[in-house]
Amino acid sequence: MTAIIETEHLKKTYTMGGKIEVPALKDITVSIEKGEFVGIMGPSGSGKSTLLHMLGLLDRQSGGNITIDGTDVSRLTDQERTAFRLHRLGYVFQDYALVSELTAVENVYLPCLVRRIGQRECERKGLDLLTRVGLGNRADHLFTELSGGEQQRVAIARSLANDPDIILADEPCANLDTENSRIVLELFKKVNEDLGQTIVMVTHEEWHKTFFDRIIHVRDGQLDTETEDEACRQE
Amino acid sequence: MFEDAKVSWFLASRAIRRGNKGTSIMTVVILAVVFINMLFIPSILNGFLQNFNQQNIDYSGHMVIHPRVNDRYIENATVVSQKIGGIPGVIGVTRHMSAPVIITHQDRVVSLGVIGIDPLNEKTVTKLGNGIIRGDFLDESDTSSIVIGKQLAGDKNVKEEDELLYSLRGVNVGDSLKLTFNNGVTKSYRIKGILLTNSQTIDYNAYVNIRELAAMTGTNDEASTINIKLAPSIPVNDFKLTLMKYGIQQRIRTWYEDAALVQQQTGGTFIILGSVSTIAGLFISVIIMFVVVYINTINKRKQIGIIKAIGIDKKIIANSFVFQVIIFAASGILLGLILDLTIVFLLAANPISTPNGNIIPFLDVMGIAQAAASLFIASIIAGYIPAWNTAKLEILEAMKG
Repeated sequence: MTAIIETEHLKKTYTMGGKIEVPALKDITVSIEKGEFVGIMGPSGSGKSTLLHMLGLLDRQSGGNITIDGTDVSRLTDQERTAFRLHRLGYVFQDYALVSELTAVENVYLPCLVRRIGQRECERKGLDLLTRVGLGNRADHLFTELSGGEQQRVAIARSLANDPDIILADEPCANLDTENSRIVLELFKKVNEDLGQTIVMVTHEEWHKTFFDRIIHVRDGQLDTETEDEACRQE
Repeated sequence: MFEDAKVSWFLASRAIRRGNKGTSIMTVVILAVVFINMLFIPSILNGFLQNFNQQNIDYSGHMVIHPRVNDRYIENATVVSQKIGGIPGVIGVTRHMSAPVIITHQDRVVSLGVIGIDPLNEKTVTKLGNGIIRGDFLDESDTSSIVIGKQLAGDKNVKEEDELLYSLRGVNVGDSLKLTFNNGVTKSYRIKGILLTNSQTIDYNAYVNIRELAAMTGTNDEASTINIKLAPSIPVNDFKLTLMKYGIQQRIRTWYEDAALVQQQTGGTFIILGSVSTIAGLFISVIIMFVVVYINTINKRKQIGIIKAIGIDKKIIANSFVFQVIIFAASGILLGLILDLTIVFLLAANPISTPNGNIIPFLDVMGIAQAAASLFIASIIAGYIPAWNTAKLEILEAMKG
């Protein structure tokens, strides 16, 4: 297997009030293989979302390196990072994050439009993806007409619009009940298995573990090796 | 770039179609009112100038010959008039003679300049005869008849303190007026007709036959002015040179020059009034668009963060708000123009009455284009600033909402 994401001594420090420095990531070196479904787990404030933001190019690191599919993304300009996110990465956020004035299918094909693919082609793809997530009959509904679980499935379909290499999901089930959470997780698993996309998901729910190929445990901004050792022993 | 614009348009059109309709309608209505404000006051001021110019043409003709600088009258006025009348392009020539006079009727005494006119030729140049509201206009044979304006005649039913100008308190056709000329000659004249032209200058005047006035003042074939009407195809300014070529040595003024003089005298005030109205309108539109887009972007900060996160460029996002502003501004301008044209149409049917005549607002295409362009550009700039400020926020900062 080849590593698609690699970080070396990744650090992130936030400056609060212009004076106080708060380290969010202290020294993270991880490698994620292509096609892996990886969970990032850890207690609140451990730095798991910060790690995901760094991997998703939503924020810049304070130190260390991130390499995605051979590209040292730390060296990319803002414009290059925007293009990289559009073409190579897909995102699913905790609160669905749909554009309120767009219908389900328009939300799904919006990233496709930006790639300068014709609107008809994008619409067709959007409908395919919605059908794949079980919402083909809800294509023309606005987000206010969809349940939380349905909105999150639309967000997953949107993350697949540009056939990204990697999907990054930040606690996608945090606002969902168990049944909808299971539907979403099964959908991620299916996407991972059927399309071979690498998925990195942040969660704090223990029962989600069963869906992951591997779990990266984070505590206090560092890899939690003790928990990982314990997990290995249990396996 | 065009493809990016298509995405911006895609977002903007959906935002307007499915966004808050009340806010959109309110924004368009406010911009329409601003646009009306920008057009209306200048259109009234233009209407005033148009009215002045039309009255000038209607009651003085296209061109007026005045005595030479050091002369009191134009000598040999008949000869000069005939010479002018023979020039191709001239469709009417008439003479006016002005003389100071004291008019007495019972206990009322008014001092003014009576105008001697050539009744037959007058009709070929001015519309004075069309203004008769009671009685008849003068004719060639009249010697002891006078025509006076409505304001000079006055109205018995109007209280004296309510009169704009000192009048003869309601004299009518058939009444007798005693005229005392500068040389002490006195004669009674019967009022033959009363004029109403809505021009204060005309309506506070008295007119007699020019031959009668010459006899009373002891002048001989002299005139204060010679008034000329030209065929519609003749360019007025060029005709000044033609008159000179035909040997007219007196001072020649066109109605354009009189209009320019009035514009020069009132222009400063008009420009200030027009500018205040335009600047106030633009200022309001800038504030409105800034506030509308600012609140919109504040409410959508999180959404903007998400859109940026999924790889949509900040320029596409900012431009989607600019497109919304363009739609609002274009709709506001269109609505404002329709409403303003309706107001102008209504005022054309019911003009604003002033002592200087009935004013109809005058809209010119260039003025409309300038107001529309300035409102459009000001709105876009005002909308772009908050849109760009939000679009350029860091993704995580924007996603916090």
